[in-house]
Amino acid sequence: MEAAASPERREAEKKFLYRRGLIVLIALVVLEVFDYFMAQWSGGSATILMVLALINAALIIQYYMHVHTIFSLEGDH
Amino acid sequence: MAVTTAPAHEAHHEEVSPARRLYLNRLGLWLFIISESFLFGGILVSRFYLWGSTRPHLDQALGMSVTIILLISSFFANRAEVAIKYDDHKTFFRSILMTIGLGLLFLVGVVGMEWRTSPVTPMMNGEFNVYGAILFFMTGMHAFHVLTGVIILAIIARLGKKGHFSSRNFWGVEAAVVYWHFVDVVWVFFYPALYLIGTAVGPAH
Repeated sequence: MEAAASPERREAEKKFLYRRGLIVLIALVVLEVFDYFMAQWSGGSATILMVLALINAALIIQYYMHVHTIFSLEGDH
Repeated sequence: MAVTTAPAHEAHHEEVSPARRLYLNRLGLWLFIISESFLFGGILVSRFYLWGSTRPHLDQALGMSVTIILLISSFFANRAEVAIKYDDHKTFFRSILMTIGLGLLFLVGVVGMEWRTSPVTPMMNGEFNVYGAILFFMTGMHAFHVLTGVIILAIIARLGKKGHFSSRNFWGVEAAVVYWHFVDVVWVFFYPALYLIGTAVGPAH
């Protein structure tokens, strides 16, 4: 976060991050429901369901866990 | 002539800037998460080894419900983290409480309902049952981590209420929230492994 950022800009950033969090949640829930129907369709294929789980995990790790910040020296998202 | 100097570790401590400390904290947390991944990875492998392409009859509606509850809790955890980084204390506190509430609801679903109504248990008719053993081990180990996460979040909420965190001091919140998301990631793999993969065998739910 930039200390010099204006209050308006910070407010806009915050709203963007809240909205992004909601979009990620919707994507995760849709994928989980898709998981269930794929399981019925494929007869419980481990390969298909584990690939879908990997996509779900990647979304959480990227957007919720901020994996890209590990090696950064910033406090930003 | 006697010269007084600060101990080596103190001198080193002073050199570490807040940004570098945050970097080191994050690195340490991710190393911990990687070590935990090996534990849960091993448990997942044991499921595939022992169950193969079969699974017990479990309550599908309950499995889907607890999964969605945990995903929503992750959304609120993320919201709490964003809020504290932008000094939105009200949203932070509400979101942390929502995360804790949903985490407890997940525990009620898994431990209070799934365990009670499960058609398999680790010991059935005086014999070891591999379906029950794996089911209870996977859900039990995960539930233990959820419980730990709830306790950590409760501590964070209490400290937050006292004004301990802000946009300049948010590491405690970030660490607790990242841990919570990790618990969610584990369930994202456990849910299909327990409820969806393979053909249902054994006693019906």
